[in-house]
Amino acid sequence: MSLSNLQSYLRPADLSSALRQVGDGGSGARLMAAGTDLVLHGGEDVTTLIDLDGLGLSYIEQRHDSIAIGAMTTLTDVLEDPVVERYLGGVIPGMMRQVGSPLLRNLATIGGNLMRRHPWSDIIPLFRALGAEVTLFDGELLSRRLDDLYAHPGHLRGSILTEVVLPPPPDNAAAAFRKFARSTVDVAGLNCAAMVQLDDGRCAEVRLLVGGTPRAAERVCAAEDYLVGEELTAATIAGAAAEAAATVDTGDDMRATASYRTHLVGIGTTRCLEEIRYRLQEPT
Amino acid sequence: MSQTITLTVNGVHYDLSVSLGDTMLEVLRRLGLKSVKLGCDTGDCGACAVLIDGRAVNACMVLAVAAAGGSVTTVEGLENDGHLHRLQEAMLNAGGVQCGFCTPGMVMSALDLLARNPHPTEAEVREGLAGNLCRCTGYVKPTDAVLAAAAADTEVADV
Repeated sequence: MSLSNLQSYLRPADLSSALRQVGDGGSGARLMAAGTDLVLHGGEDVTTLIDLDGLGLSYIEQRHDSIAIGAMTTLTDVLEDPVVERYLGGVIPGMMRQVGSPLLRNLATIGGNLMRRHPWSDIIPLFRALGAEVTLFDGELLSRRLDDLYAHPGHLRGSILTEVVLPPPPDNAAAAFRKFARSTVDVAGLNCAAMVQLDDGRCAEVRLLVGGTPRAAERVCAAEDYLVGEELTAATIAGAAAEAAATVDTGDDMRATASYRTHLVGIGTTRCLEEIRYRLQEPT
Repeated sequence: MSQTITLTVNGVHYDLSVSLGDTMLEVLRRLGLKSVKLGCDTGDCGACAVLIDGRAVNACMVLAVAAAGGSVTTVEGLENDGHLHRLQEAMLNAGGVQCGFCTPGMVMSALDLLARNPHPTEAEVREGLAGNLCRCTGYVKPTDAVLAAAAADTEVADV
């Protein structure tokens, strides 16, 4: 039993109470979303759980052209939501179907995934490619770009993530995601996510991330810079893929070798960008 | 540290004293519900799948205290007046049961799938059962069984 030293299980009625209970619980206190990771890997040092269920954080709302997803929304609810389905050609449910199995997605939450920051997370690279923002509560509600949150993880300490917000989908833009894993329910040996916005036929904004390298997802600035100002063609896609393969730092672990991962960086980048090129050529 | 929780399991109301770290899998097996299999105990195999408030989940990944007040359905709860549920019958008729260890979890995943998607395609059935590992059947006959149940009975989702 992983949580063998649990002394207290709390269900706060509001965010302020939850924050106070974390402080009161000391080093053994943990905020809990669905708890799928905590149940398996919590360990004996966890003495207090503060369950965020019951705070009204399970929702998906369209706010003008943005979409706000409450932190406690399950991955299944995100996958099946019609508003999310329409966002940039259905790229989010396409990715979400590749996260674990329905049995896991029925439990796991979007907030839990973003806060656990597993390096193989499929959600993090795609949501960063889409320019998502998160709302944190540290006594007050404040917004941060997901990019900034992972660049400065100190922002997470003493905070509760309450929602993630997808910005209005940019005009003339498309996004894509690719995952490489040993089976349909395994975590990624490598994943790629990209979003490209065209202006007058040329790449105006490019966001490309590679994760599971086996380190956490990072933007591939060399490939992004290579594409900006260029048309999206087979030749420029090949060039961007070469830049990505040359610059993404990969390593060995039980899932793949560094050299295989480097090979996959080129493949994943190419497939994402080819899909984006195809989507941008589709009649709207 | 223990706590008393209320659970409705297969329609029966229970007041249960559980340790705070107990999983739903441990609690259900202590109640004698042995269809809930202890397989991997790490959320990978689906042998412990049950419905909690209508959704199929791995019972090994759910803290019992976190599900307090909820409604749980296991395969034992599908029997009706001594008759198997139609999905169980379909599994038998299609030869979808071999050693049987994975079957209860697979049935619960299929129930959840059919409740939300009464007429799934073969691909959707395969996706719906993706969290249930089976070393005997090769998945073909269980998939056939779910498709047959869906085709035969529009009421299959009514647990």
